[in-house]
Amino acid sequence: MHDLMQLTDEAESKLHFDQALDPDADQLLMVELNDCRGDFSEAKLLWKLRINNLNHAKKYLLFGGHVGCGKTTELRRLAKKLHQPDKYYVVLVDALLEVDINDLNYSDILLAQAKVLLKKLEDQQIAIQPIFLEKLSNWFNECIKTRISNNEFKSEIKAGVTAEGGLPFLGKIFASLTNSISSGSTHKEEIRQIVQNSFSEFAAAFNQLIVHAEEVLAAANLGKKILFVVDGTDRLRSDQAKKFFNEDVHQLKQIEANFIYCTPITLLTEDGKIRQEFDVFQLPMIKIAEKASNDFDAMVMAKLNEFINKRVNSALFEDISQQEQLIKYSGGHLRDLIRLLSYCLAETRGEKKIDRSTVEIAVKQLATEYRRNIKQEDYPILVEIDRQAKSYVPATEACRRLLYDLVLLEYNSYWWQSHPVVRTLEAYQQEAAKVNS
Amino acid sequence: MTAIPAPDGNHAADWQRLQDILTLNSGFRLVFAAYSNHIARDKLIAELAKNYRQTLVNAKNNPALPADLKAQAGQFELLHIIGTELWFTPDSSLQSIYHLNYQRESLAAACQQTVLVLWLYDSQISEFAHEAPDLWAWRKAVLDFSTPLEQIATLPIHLAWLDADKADIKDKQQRLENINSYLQGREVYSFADGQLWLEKSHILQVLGLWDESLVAAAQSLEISKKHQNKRAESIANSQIAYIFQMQGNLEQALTIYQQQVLPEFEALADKQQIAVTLLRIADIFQLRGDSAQALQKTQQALSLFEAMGDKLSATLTQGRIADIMHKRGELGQALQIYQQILSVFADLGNKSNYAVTKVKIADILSDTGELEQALQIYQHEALPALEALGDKYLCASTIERMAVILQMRGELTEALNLYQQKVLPIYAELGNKHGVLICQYNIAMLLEKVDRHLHQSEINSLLCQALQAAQAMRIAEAEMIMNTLTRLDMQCISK
Repeated sequence: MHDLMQLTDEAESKLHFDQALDPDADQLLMVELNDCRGDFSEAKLLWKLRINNLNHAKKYLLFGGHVGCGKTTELRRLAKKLHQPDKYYVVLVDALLEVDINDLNYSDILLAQAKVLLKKLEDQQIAIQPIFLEKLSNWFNECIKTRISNNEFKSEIKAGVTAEGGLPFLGKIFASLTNSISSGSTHKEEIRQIVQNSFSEFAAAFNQLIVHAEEVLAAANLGKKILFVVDGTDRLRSDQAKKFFNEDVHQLKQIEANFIYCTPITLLTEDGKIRQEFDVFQLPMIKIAEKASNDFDAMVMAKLNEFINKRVNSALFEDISQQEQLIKYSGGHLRDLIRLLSYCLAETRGEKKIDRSTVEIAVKQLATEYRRNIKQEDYPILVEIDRQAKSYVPATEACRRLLYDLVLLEYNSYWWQSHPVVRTLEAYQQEAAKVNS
Repeated sequence: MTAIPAPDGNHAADWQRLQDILTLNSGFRLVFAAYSNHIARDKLIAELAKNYRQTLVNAKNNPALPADLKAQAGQFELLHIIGTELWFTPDSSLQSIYHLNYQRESLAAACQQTVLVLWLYDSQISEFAHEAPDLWAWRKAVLDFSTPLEQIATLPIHLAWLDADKADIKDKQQRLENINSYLQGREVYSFADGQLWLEKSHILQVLGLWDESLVAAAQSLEISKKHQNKRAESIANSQIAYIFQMQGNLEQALTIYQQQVLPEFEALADKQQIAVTLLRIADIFQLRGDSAQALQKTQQALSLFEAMGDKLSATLTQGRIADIMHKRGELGQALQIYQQILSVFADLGNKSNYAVTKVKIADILSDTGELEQALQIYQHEALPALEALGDKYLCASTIERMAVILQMRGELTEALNLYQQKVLPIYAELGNKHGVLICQYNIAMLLEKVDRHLHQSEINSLLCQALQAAQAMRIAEAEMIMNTLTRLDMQCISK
């Protein structure tokens, strides 16, 4: 006989919907889900990165998908896979840690990239020739140090940078600059202005370091080219994302390395401009069934049941039908599946098993949350999209908002359907009845 | 009456024609005089004062121009109509021109003993012919006193791709030394080493060591070829072409850009570099005086930047279109563009280009005779911003413009002070040999105006230093300096 309370506690500890899985630390929770994402193919992504011929022109790739569909987990898994002697030397930049994502500027992210690269090279004791660091150091001396008006801040920087020179010196400089920006210090705008006004010098100096570092890393059998994987930039608000990826793209692309930037889904549904500047890779939702079909994919259901049971012991369910109901209501959205499980456990409180009514309560709770993001005039749009064929994907501002808010979900080969919990809402059902009658 | 000798060797024939019209002809004589540079024009006018009773009539915002001309005609032999710079621009009124045209007969009657010299930019002359065909039909002559672009002894800020120059000569030399010492220890050059050779070429170029710069760029090219990096190869080739361009070897530069650099970037579909190369090509056309082709290439570059959504580069390129218009004398249109892009740079927070655009607006004001306003902008708006940014090159160039205005106002000592105490030391500090030699030339010319005999040896010494540098750099300015030395009957003693 299982102790329900203990099992519930164990399950609760594994239901984090605010953290991505770490490919090393969270192996027990990992489930290989790529086969469940329709025609998603990792091979396509690798092809886009020209993994078979790394002497290609630099790649700037956007990796997008719904919030919570497993982007970060997949990206980190991919980063680990690509960080190989015969592939890339991956530099993972977590924008959420390194910069202020609520107020992001291209110069912030590029300074953060320099900081993380320098730190990584230093930690691994990579022998970088001083001549290739000197230009970056000169840029700092000529453009930053002498231009900062605030003496107090000058002293702060000097105090933070005690090392003599070389990688540790530059590493500390960039850590200090990035820290001033991410902590929202009063000098943030001044630093940004200075970087922006001397950007071509910074880019030239950073590029010189990258080219040399790639040669040294390749010689040390640590990777043929540098690949920056920038996570967290998918959290940018729509207007900020547009500015960052559209307007500032030419500054981002002045850095001559390979990049994968995580991107919000709304940006990928915009006009074609973004696709002219970047290679785009979209991580589809897990597809549990075809559009408007009740014929659920057995393989996907099995994988998602495995996903549930790696977190919540099956003994906590009255029977497997509750698990399957939760999967169906999640729409294949992993974070919502975890959220529904969490709501179920909060409802049973370890005192009883998850039964049909528990599932209904959890679904209602989630649906109520979604209702806040839906305007009355959105319901006809949602009903129409659900009724129409897969090819009906009206890329309007309203639809982009609904996609961003997860009210509308996008699946492989890019068809749309409203979130299953949204379809339980009274307003939706009234609209559907009106249309059907 | 003895004819006044031509102030320079370029316009001797037209200068003589003008004097013949003044002395040998009679009756109504309207002369169209094309010019491109205020200082040169004012110098010609000043020379004419030696033999003729003359005065200036300002046409700027002057609806009573025909009446003014008629009123002055009886008192002077020669009337110079100036202040026409904004004629035929979108916002300007053509009323005074129409009046001149309608009142041709009465104007001619009033000016039987007086020669009218109407000073216009070259591009304005055909506009005048179109707008005032009756008066145009009564012209006595159209004379050309315009100055070829390369002979205007001011730094071509409008043609520079505004690379900031913040490091002083000591830093540059130190960096060069470090690069040299690293490269000497290399047995086989890596791709990154090739990039160091390119950087070395850039530093040498700024230092005016163009032959050495060329060698370094060629080495970078070889290394890029060896590593089969087409993009780097084209960038090195572009640097080689740029050095040829700086040396005045425009044909060779154009050939490299058009036959090697541009096709390679096109094959790589590198739109950014294609656009940059088009701008370089436009520079060459502009230097050759072919502003139509320069404009066409610049507009092509603009279309590319716009298609890419590269707002900053597109705005900079719009500024270049305005630069070309400015050079063609289309001041109103140029001013309009500068004002538009100024607000874009403000929105972008791009202080450097904001300040540069302010400088360009002031240049136009200066050309239209608004000297005080132009000086205010140079001194109180642009210069403090550029100083704060630490861009010494642009600071020197702005101060140089202030000196030109002081010179135009006749404040020669003040202008001289600026050149000697501010501009020259900055170029020297930056190691900018080209800037130094131009500055030396300008100082010599000012000293000549102040007191040629008193400063005889200093003028000679400055011109010889400038000549030596120009000859070492193999640039077109060498000829201009030689001509000046000949005119002043001076020689350089070779050591």
